[in-house]
Amino acid sequence: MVLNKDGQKLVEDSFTLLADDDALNNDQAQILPLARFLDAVEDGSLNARTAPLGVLLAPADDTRALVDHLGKLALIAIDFPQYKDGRGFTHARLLREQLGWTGELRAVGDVLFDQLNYMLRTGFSTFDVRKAYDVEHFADAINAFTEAYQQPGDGRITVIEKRHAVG
Amino acid sequence: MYQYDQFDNGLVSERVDQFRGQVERRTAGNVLEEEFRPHRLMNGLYLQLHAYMLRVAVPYGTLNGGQMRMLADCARKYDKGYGHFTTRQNIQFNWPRLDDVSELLKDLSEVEMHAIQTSGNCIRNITTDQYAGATPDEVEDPRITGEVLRQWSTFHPEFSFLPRKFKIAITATENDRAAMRFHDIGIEIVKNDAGDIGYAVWVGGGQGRTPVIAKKLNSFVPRQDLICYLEAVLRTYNMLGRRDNLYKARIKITVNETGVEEFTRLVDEEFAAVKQHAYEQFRLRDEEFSRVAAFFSDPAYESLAATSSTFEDAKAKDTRFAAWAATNIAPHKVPGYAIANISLKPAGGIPGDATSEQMDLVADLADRYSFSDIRVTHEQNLVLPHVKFDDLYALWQALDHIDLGTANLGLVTDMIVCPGLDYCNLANARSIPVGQMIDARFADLNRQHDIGELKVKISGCINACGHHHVGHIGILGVDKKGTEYYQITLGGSADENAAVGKIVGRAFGYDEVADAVETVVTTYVNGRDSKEETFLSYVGRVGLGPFKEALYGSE
Ligand code: SF4
Repeated sequence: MVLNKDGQKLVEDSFTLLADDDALNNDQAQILPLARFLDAVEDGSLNARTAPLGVLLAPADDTRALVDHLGKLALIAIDFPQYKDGRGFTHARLLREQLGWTGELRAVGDVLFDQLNYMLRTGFSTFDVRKAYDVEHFADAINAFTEAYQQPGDGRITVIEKRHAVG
Repeated sequence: MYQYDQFDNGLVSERVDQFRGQVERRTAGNVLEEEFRPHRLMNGLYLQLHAYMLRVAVPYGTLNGGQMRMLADCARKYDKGYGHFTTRQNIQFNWPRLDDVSELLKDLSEVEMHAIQTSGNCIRNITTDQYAGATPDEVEDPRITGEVLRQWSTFHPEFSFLPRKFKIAITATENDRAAMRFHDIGIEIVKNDAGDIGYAVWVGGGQGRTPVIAKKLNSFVPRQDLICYLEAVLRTYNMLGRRDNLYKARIKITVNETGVEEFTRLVDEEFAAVKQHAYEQFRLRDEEFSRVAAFFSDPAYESLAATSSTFEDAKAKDTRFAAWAATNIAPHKVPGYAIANISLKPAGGIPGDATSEQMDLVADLADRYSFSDIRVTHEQNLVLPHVKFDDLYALWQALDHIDLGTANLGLVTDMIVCPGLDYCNLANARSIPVGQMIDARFADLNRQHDIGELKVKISGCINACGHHHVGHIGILGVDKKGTEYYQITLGGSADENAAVGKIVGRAFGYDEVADAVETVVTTYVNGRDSKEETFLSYVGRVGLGPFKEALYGSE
């Protein structure tokens, strides 16, 4: 179930993740793995697209490969195949901070309950949460910490800034 | 020392709540051990051979009297009345019950302590020179940068699931007491020709199965850029570091496999990008540095004569005290003061262990004699950094009373010994009993003083928690067909002359190790030019030849 930061379910979510042998359908909201997306851009098969398009970044992908293509996208999903693999946090941050992506950024895969706060802070805006418990207690996890020392992706005011705010 | 404000306090107490929730979910069966594991690890809670072990952070190795008393209390309440100071300048409790850990963490939070990031694949507790703020040879107090980086690395959302654990050490002097070159990142605080203070950054050092001396990646990062630069190093490592092989996941391997030049280029590129896009968020602000620095300003020293007749008289009449004064005190930057080292290596003891009574006493003595300032060293001893020469004798007498007055700092019995087979899941061999055999062999303190500086370090397996690679004499436990053997290395060093010890020859059996060490020491004592030639310089001069000859003959 895909939730937004406030724990609300995305009702309009109609995206499907394209598996390797699924066909591209320009009239359906689909999420393409990065390599497939880049190929499709190259060979023109997205030219007639009417439906929204998403791309999926795997940990080993090069985030900056998207730099010229952000305008074509409605969604960027970042895969966490294993909670231990923290490369997704770097993808998110690069997208927000350096590539200037302002659209939906979705965490998918092994979205660990206690990583939700870190995901929020690196700039994720939606979260594919699977377990009933996690959905029910979503707010506790995403807001586990009120303050933060760093501001990598979510635009919050850091502890350091608060300490030295004038007035 | 640093004092928490409402923000620091808020974060630590939210962490206590979060952990309590995690334990409750685990106990209620909503979470599998496998899923609980990363959280318990992020809170410093390990599952050891016999029980849980909780590792509590001592940021940059600094404690005040109140904190030490709380540690003593925790050891009494939740453990068996003792704690174990580690080579990360931390303290471990070896017997807490899972149900008690949340309470223990809550107690600690009352004295501004925690177990955050003392394990897991994140940025670990940052270590530094145990003489910080007191030693005459430093550019500035490295704990200021240590505290700034503690905050930066705490709950860093991008770098908490790195390929592997990540250790940072800081030194502010060329006389490196923090083993900076054997860390994932070593930071040396330096002053450039223009008189500005900045940072030389070394990357990719480490011990373990592949010991590597760090490479200097940047010789001067301006102060305001430090965090941006570290972000660039960490990000490059996060994306490039290997996740397919546990033994190749540390940054030292990443640097070696990528090549230093290429790695440096990638870091520089990322550094430029960070500065371009996120400089405002990650610039180390002057006002924040000054705010933190104010907590580390000098205590109210008295103005004293450089010499003390009380001290000289005591040395003259008490030879045991004179021996202690010869090894356990170091020069202080203020006349009339000394840095006093407390050895946690009493004869027959377990290196680094301290009982609750000992911790309480150290706390009292720190309050009375050292502005309530206590340090933990990476060699598992304690330090009272600001003691008047006039007070040293009284201090030592009080310490001696409770087995803390051993005059062996830097000598053969001041060993680093990992827990080994007695406690550790990963061990190949026992470490602690081997240390004790060597300890017994060299029990004669006069002989130890005659041998002079000699660092013996023992690890129970190739993970090298006992730092054997950098021991002047290193001892590594290996397993040969189910039998414990010990490999001896010579000439390692963790200081500014960083070196990895060389294997001297075939390994020795459990019962032969103490003899072998004795032979090595005798070879040195008989061969040295004079007492001025230390063990390490002797090995540097003659190489392994005479030792091989003495150990193995014509074998
Ligand atoms: S060196 Fe090996 S045996 Fe010793 S504590 Fe580390 S992992 Fe355990």
